[in-house]
Amino acid sequence: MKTYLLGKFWHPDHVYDALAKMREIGVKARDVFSPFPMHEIEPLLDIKRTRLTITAFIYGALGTLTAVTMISVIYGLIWPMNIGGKPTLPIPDYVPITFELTVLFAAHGTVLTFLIVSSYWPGKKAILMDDRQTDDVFVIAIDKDAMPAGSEADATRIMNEAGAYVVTEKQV
Amino acid sequence: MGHHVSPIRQQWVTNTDYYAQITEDISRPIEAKPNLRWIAAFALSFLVLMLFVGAVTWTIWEGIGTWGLNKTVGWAFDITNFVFWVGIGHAGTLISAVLLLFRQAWRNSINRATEAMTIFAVICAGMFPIIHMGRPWLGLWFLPLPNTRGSLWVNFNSPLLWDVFAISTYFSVSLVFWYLGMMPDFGSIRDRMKRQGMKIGSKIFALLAMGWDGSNRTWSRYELVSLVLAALATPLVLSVHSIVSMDFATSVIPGWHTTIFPPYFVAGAIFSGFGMVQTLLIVQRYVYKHENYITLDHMESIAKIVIATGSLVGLAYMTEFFIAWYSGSIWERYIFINRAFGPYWWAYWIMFSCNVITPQIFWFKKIRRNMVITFIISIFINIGMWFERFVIIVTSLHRDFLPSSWAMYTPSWVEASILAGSFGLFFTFYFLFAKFLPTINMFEVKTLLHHPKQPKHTFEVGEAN
Amino acid sequence: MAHGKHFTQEELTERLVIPQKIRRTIYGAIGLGLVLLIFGLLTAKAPSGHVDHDTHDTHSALVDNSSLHKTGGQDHDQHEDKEHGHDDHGEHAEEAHGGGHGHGPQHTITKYTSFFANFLLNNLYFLTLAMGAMFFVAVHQIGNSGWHTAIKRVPEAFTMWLPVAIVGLAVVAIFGNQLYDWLAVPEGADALIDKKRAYLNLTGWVIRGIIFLGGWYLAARVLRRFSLREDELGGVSFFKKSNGVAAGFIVFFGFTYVLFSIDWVKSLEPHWFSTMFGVYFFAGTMATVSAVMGLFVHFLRRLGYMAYVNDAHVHDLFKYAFGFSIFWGYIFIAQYLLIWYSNLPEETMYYDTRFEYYHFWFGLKITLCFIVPFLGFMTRNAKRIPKMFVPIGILMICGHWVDLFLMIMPGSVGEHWHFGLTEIGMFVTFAGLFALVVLTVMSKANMVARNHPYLEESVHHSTGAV
Repeated sequence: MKTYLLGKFWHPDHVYDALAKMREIGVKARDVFSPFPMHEIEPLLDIKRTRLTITAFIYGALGTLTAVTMISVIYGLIWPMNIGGKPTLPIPDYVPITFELTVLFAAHGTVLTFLIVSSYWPGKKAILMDDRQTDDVFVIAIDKDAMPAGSEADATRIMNEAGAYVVTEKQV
Repeated sequence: MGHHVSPIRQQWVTNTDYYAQITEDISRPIEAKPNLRWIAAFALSFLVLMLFVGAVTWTIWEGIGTWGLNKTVGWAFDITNFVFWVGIGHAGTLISAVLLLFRQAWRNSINRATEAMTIFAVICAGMFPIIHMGRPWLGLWFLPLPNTRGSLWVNFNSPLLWDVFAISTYFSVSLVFWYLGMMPDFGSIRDRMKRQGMKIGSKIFALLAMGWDGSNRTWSRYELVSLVLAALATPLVLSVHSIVSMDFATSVIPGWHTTIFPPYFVAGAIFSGFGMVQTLLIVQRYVYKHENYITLDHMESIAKIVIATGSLVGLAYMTEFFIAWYSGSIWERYIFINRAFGPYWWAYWIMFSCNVITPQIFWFKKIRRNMVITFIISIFINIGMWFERFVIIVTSLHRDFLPSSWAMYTPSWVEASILAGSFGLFFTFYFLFAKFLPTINMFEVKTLLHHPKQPKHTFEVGEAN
Repeated sequence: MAHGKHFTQEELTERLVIPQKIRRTIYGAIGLGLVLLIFGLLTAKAPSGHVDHDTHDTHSALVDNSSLHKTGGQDHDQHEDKEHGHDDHGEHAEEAHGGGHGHGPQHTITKYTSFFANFLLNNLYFLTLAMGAMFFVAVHQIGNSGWHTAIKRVPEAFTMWLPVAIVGLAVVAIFGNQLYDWLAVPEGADALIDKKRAYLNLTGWVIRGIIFLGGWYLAARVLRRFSLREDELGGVSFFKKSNGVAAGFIVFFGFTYVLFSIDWVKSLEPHWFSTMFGVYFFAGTMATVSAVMGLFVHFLRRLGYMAYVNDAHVHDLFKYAFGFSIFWGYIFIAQYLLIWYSNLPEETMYYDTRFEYYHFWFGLKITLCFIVPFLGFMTRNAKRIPKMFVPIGILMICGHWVDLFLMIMPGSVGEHWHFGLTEIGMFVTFAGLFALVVLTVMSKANMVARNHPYLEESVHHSTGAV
């Protein structure tokens, strides 16, 4: 159980202002919950660029390897067939299937990894700070234990000044 | 976001002041009870679907002999329908993936419906090879699985096998892309339904939303995953119709074997898909009163893509004709003259006038913004693109190298019913989608609302504190 | 990011002053190129009838080309015979057409043929840059693109190379019979060419050339004029007028670029045909021009100009280079795969010649035009960090040269290709001239389209999540 200081906003720009000002007094938000992605606040939340592109590349390479191995082994070793006088290892014919398997592996691998690292699964119960945060409310959540001592009042004031319609607390 | 938008740009969301209004407008059809209009439309599609089921059952029971095929024209309606439906699907991926990479904001409100269209169209397409197998229960033989049939493997040289890989990859990747795009919206609907006390609906959407909470740490990853998927889906969509075109182009049949087929099929696919997008969205925006999200500007952009791809298709037709002459090969020259002036001339000219000439009237702004005329043209495009595949397939086959085996092809009632019935299959799925899932991507539309107003519920909370 | 800085009037009215050092370097390059070219020409030898090429007994390392020759069982023997003389293996291709003399060029190859072929190559090379830039401008205009506004003047300046290209191609046309079989071979000598003479004839060729190049130049001129007038007068009227011109240009370009590629490149091998050729030519054009624009913008920023251009613009240009390289690879493999698969002699002869005498270049082409940019530009950093994109971009520039080399040489000089001082010298001369023309054009106007309605969007451009 953790206690969060919540600032609830109705305008995305106000969130940016509040986060920027709070950082000046050393208050860093744990997260911001919003109905849609907000690129500009990412540096203010210390969100690092995800490495999912690298995993996508690895999955893709795995797909390429799978396809090439599969065709070579089946066609070159197990079951060579002479079709239309083509060589038994027809390199141009590799291209379509290799490409498809590369995309197949990369796409599904990336999505699965995304679901795993974000720990989403069917039926997972969402922990909501506000039941409108997926609709029209933007919530700044600050972990109270991680706040510098005595900064709570300042943070509340900053959020109110920036345009929060309410500042409250919630135990999660 | 959207802080620096030129004043001359179109507003992609009109007459909307609140984020909640977007959620409300798009969730309303899901929360409401099905109305009579929907039930009637759904029942009609279902009836047509039954026609499909009946005709397919008859085909499998009686055999492919119930079709109008003969030894010369051994491929006709089934493959035409297959290519037609796969092509329809392409517009959805183009909108969701390619336009995302090109940062086209207008895709945000139409991507959901068109992706759904993609998936249902690919399902329809996938039916045809399976039906044509005659023994669909042996469909697993398509896959390169170890087996006891003397360890008989698939033929990796065959473009038909490439199709198996291409279509299944395309289908599964599109499905995942579509689902991923809906996750945040499922979250919105879950919470909305809960607020309204709709327990069962809320539970179902909670299951589908997988615990979506709108955390920006997730959003950051989510956006990147969307872009990765878009970057993968873009070459994928090109490859799918290219591989479909190779079913024909790898042969030595004049009219089939021409190197421009891959990009030409892709252009045609996108063109036909956008025709279907126009047909569907014009009705949908009107029935659901989504004109503020799918504005006339959206329909205009779609019309512009229709002109562009229609002209590309026209360019390909003319290139083919010119190069057939330029090749100096008598077979090439003959087959193209036969196409336009032979026994199937009517099919050729239906194709040419629907695909190349009709879309040209979209050059006029007034027509691009007139939904009645656009709707009519979109139907013409659908017809024209179906005929394009028919022309390519049947006219190239019916004049064999050996004049004694020249033949004509006439479809039987079974084939006609399967074609008609496949629309039933498509629309049954589509009506289910339109009723039970969010037809517009809510979170992406919200990003386009640049000047929201303060919602009422926040005043109340503010006073309470 | 969206919270970016604003720019002063001075920054938005800056003009390019070509630094003396750069000017000297360009003159030096042109001079050096000319020296190399003349030296190469003086030492050139006339090709003998049967040059014993060291390449000729090795087959392509890349793809097993034996199947290209196999149209039936008996052809296989022919393939074995190939080691003894390289004129006979094209026979079955000729039989299908009833005429011709093997699949090398039929015109006489003198010591100047490769010079003219090379001259044609360089003219086409820089013409593709101009036309690619023109297409870029037109498409972004009608696509309502905002981001490209800040760098718009660079492709605009590229298009002003067109007059030079027109003069160059006019010179090629004068000496056309040195290169083009259908101009050199008299009527009646080649049945297949005779069938195409309704299209492939001098009058038609010249008239088409005038219409195509004239039309392109006219469109480029008008678009640039509108853009410059907008700088002076402002308002959105020029922007709106440009839309119509750009849309018209794209339609015209679609049809004419295909025919242009047939007229000037594909007809070098008049027996061969492929419907894909125009698309292939276009794909190579776009990949290269994107990389060249990226390098140009980077170079201008290094000189201290274009402060309003950020890494995102360069990133996007190299994204195009990356994307179009993949598109090039797709078009290449689609054309190759279909010809390889169907194995019709009248089509495979195109690749036959290339595998026989050019297999090194063939491998190099695929490496430079596809593998290098595909692997090189895959990461985000590669498109943003000069240490990465400069070398990859330069390799792509070489790749396009090799691509054109492979399109032009087999049809014009057959097996007697030559690579040496002449080729390097000519390219350096042309590149110097191109840089000079583009920089001079740029220095005559504002560096940025300062009254463009999308300028504000462009200077705050970011690539978003990627």
